Amino acid sequence: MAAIIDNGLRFGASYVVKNAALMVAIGVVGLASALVCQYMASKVTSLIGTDIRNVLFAKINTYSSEVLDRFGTPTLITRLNNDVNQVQTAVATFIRLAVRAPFLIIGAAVMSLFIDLRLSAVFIVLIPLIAVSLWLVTVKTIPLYRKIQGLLDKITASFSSHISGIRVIRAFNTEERETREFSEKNADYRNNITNTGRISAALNPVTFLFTNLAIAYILYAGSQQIAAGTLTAGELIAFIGYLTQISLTMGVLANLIVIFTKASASSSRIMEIIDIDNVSPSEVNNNDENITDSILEFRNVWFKYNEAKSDTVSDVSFSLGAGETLAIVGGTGSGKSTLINLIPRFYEFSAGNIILDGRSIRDYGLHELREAVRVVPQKSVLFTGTILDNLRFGNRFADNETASRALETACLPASRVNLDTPVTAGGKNFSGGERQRIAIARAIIHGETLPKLVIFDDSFSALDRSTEKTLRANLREYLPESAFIIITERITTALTADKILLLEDGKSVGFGTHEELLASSDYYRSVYESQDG
Amino acid sequence: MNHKTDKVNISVVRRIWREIHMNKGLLFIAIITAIFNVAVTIAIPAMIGSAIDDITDSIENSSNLLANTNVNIGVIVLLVVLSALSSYILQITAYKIAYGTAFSLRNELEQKLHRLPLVFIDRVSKGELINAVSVDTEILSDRLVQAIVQFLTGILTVIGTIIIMLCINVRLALVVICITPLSLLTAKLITLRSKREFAAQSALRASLSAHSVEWIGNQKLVSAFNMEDESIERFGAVNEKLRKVGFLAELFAALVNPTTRFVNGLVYTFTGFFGFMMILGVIPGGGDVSASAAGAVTGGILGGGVVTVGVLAAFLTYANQYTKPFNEISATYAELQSALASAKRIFTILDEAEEDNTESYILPNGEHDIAIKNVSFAYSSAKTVLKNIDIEISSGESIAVVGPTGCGKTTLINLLERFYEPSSGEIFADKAAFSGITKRSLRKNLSMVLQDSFIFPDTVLENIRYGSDATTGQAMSAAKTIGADSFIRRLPDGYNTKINDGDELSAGQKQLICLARVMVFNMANPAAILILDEATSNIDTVTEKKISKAVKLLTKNRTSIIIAHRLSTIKDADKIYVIADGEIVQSGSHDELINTDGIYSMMYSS
Repeated sequence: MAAIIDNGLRFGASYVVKNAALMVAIGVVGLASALVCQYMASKVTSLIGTDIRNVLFAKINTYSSEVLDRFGTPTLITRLNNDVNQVQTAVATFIRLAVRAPFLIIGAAVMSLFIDLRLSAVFIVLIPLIAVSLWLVTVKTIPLYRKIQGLLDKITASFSSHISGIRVIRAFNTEERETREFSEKNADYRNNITNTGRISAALNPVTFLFTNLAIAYILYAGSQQIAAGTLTAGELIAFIGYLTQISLTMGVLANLIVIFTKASASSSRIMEIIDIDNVSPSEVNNNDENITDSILEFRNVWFKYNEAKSDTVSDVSFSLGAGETLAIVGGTGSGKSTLINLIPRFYEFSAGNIILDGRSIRDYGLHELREAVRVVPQKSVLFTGTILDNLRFGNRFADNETASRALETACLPASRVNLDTPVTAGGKNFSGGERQRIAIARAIIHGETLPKLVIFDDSFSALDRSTEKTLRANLREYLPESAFIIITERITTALTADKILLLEDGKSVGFGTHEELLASSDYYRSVYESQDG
Repeated sequence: MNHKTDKVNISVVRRIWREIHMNKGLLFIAIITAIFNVAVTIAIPAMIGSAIDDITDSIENSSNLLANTNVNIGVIVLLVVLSALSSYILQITAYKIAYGTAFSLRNELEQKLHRLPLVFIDRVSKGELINAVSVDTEILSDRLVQAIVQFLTGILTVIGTIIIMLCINVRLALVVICITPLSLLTAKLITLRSKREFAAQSALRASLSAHSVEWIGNQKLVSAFNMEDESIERFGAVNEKLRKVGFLAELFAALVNPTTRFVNGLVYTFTGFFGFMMILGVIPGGGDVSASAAGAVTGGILGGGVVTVGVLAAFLTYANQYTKPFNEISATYAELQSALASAKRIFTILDEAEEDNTESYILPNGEHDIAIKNVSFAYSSAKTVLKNIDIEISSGESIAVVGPTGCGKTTLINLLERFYEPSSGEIFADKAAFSGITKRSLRKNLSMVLQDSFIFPDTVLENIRYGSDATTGQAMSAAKTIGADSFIRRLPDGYNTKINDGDELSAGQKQLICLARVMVFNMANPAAILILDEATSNIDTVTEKKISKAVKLLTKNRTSIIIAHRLSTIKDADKIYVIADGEIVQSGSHDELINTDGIYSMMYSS
C-alpha cells in the first residue's frame, strides 16, 4: 500500500491496478496459509482433548478402591471434564495466536536494531520489564487458580449431594439451609476468582503502558537526534512502527498468559491423577504346601483400612467347599462387608492368605479372579441402558435365552420384566426389590466358565421371605457347583446354610452349623432369640 | 430451520443480557470506562502522528518546534497512562460482571433444584444437572469477560471511526461502510454451518459427563465385573464422536477469522484503489455535493473534501481500525458459540416446570387424623403403581404396610410426603386436603426414615442433628438411645468423623444414623407422624432388639406408618395393610391376619 501511495502519482492508473491486484494475490496466499494453520490447529486441539480424556478415563479405571476412596468421585469427574476442556482451550489459542508472537517480536526487534543502535537500547529496558511483570503475575496466579479449581470441586460436590439427598432435604424442610450453604461456597469461589482476576487483569494494561512509554521516549530521544542530524524522520517513523507492532503482539500474549495459567493449574490437577501408582500388595508368605480341596480358604486373614486406628478384620480363618453355602452373621459394623471385599481384592488383605481353588488370590490376575468370584453388592446399582445391557455385565455374550434364564432364576419372570425394558441412571425406575433381583441375575449369569464363588452382600434384604426362599432354591439349581457366601441379618436365611461364620468387631467368634452354634455361642443364641417370631 | 435457531439464540442472548443487567452499576462503569478507553486509544496514534509532523516540520522550517514536540510527548504519556488505567478498570469490571452472573446462575440452579418435582429429578440424569452447575456456568463466565470487553470497545471503536471517516470524506466513508456487510455475510455463511456442530458438541460433552458420573461413580462395581475395558470403550466411542464434532466445530469457527480478515483486506485494498482513482480524477473525487455535508465541520482542514495523498493515508489508517473489532470478535466466535450452547442448557433447566406451590393452608403442628381416599398413582403413561388405596389412620394409631417386593409401598410414602402427587384421589389431614396444605407445614408434621439412607458429606454429628438446632449433647444422647454411639466412637474421629460419599459406612450404620437423626427431629416436633420405610432392614436383629425399646418409645402414642417385612417390626401395629400389585388385598391386626388364609399368612408361616 505504501508503494502504491508513493509511486501511484508518478505511474498512473495502470500501476495502481497492477499493485492492487498484487495485494489481492498476497491476501489470497495469506488466506490459504491461515486456513491450513487453522485446519491443523483444529485437528490437533480436538485430538489432544480426546487423547487426554481417554488416557485419564482409562487410568481411573485402574484405580484400586483405596485410591477411589481417597479422591472421591466428584473431583475425578470435574478433572475429566472441566480441566481437560481448559487445557484444550489453551492448546487451541496457543496454536492460533501464540505461535506467531515470537516471530513478530524478534523480527520487529531485529529490524529496529538495523535502524539505529542507540535508540534500540530502549529494548534492553523494555523487554526485561515486560518479562518480569509477566513472570510475576504468572507466578502469583498459578497457585491461586489451583485453589479456585478446588473451590469449584466443592461447589460440584455440594450440588451433587443435594441431588442425591433431595428427599431428606425436602422432608426436613432444609432447602433454605442447603441453599445458604451452597451459596456460601459459591460466593467463596466468586470472591477468589474475582480477586485473582484483579491480578491477571493488570497484564494487558501494564504491557501496553510499558511499550507506549517506550514510544514516547523514542519520540523524545529521536527528536533530539533528528535535530542533531543523526536520524531521519523516516527512520523514526519506521522505528515507531516496529514498536507498535511489538506492543500489539505483547497485548495478545498477555491475554494468553491468563488462559495458560488456568490451563497449567488444570494440567497439574490432571497429572496428579495420572501419576498415581496403584500400590501393589506385598508378597504373601507362600508356604502353603498343604493345599486343601476346599474352594475358598481364609488363613489367619487380617485387614486394616489405610487411615484407621484398629484392624477391621482380625485373624479370620475358615474354609468352604464346592457347592456349599456359608452364611456370615454379625452385628452392624462387625466387618462383614469388609471381609468379603477382600476376596475379589477390592481391598488387599494385610496379613495371612486367602486361597481360592488351590491358589492364593494374589496369584490370580485381577481379571481372572473377578471372573471366578461374583459379587452382588449391598447397594444394587444398575446402569443406563436396557435390562439386557445390565445382564451382559456378567456375560458379555449372553443371548436372550441365557439372559431370560438368569432373570427367571432371580425370580423375575419375563411377564414382569422385559429384556428390552429401559433402565434409567442408577435403575431408579425399578423398586428396591426389583433392583436387587436384577443385580443378582447380573452376578450369576455366566458363559462357559462357571463362577467358583458367588457373594451375596445382604442381597435379599428387600425381598419378602417367600420370594427369598424360591430365589435361593433357584440359585442352587442354577449353579450347583459354586460356593455361596451370604451376608445376612436373618437367622431364617442363615440356618439353611451349610456353615455359619459369626463375626463380632472383625473377629471370628464362631464357625459351624446352626445347631453347633446354638449349642456353643451365647451371641448366636441371642441373635436367634431376637428373631424368634 | 436456521431462522428458528437464530431466534432461539437471540432469546438466549436476551436472557444473558437480563442476567447481566441486574448489575446496573457495574454495567454503567463498564460503559463509561469503555468510552473513555476508546476515545483515549483512538487519540494516541493521532498524537504520535502530530508529534512526528512537528519534528518533520522543525527540520524543514528549521524553526524551534522542539519545545512543541516535548509538549506533545507529555500529552502522549498522559494519554497512555489514562488508557492503561481505563482498560484495567474495564477488565476488572468485566470480571466482576461475568463472575457475578455465573454466581447468580449457579445459585438459581441450586434453588431451582429444590423447586423441581421429584418425578423430574428421579428421571433426569444426575450428570447433566451437575454439568450445568460446574461446566456450563464456567464456560459462560469465561466467554462473557471477552464478550463484554470486546463488544463494548468494538462497537465504540466502530462508531468512533465511522464518524471520523465521514468527517474526512463522505464518499470514501460510504464505500467502506457499504463493503462491510460483505465481511459480515461471509462470517454469517460459515457460522450457519458451525452452529449445528456447536450444539452437537455441547450435547456430546453433556453425555460424556453423564457417562463418567455413572461409570466412575460406580467404579468399584465396574471393576467387580471386569467391565473396565467396556467402560473405556464406551467412553472412547462417545469421546471419538466428540472429537469429530469438536473438530468440525473448531474448524468452522476458526475459518471465520481468516476469512473475514481476507475480506477486510479486500475492503482495504478496494478503498485504497477507489481513493486513488479519485485522486487521479478517473472517478469524480469528493465532489462539492458530498463535501458540503461534512464540509461545514471539516471544510477548512480538508480543502473542501478534495482527496489528497495525506487524506487518503489517514483515511486508510482509520479504515483499518474500523475493521479491527470485526476481526477480534470473529476470532473468538467459536468461544461465543459454545458459551451460547452452555447458556441454553442452563436456561432449559431453569425453565423446567416447577412444583405447584400455591397451597395456602398451614397445617398446625399437632395431632392429625390421616385419610388416604381412593388414591391411585401412575408414572405418566406407564403402568399403574397404586390403585384405589383407602387407608384411615386416627391420631395416635400405628399402621404397617406389607406386601411383596415392588408392590408400591414406597410409592405410598412418596405420596404421603408429597414427593409425588397422586394421579387421582386425595389424602387428607383431618379435613384438609394435602393438595391445599403448604408442603413446608405438612412435612413439619412428618418425620421420616427412608429405605435408602442418605448421609450428607459432613460430620456424623452434623448428620445426626440435620435439620434441627439440637446441641451436641442432645445429638449424642439420641445416638446412645438408638444404639449408634458405640460404633460412632470407634470411627477415626468419633462424632467429628467426616463422611465423604457414605461408602465408608455399612448400610446398617447409615440406618442407625438416620434413626438418630429422626429422633433428634422428634424432640422438636413431638407430635410428628412417624414414617419408617424399611428403616431397620439393614440393622442386625440383636441391635434391632436393643433399639426396639427406643423405637417403641418413638412410636408410643404417635401416629406411625411403618413399612417393613420383618415380622418383629410390624406385629405390634394397630392395623396392618397388605398390598399386592398396587392394591390393598388384606387388612387387620397381626392376630387376625395370621389366622386368615392369604398373602400375609403365607409370608409369615415359614
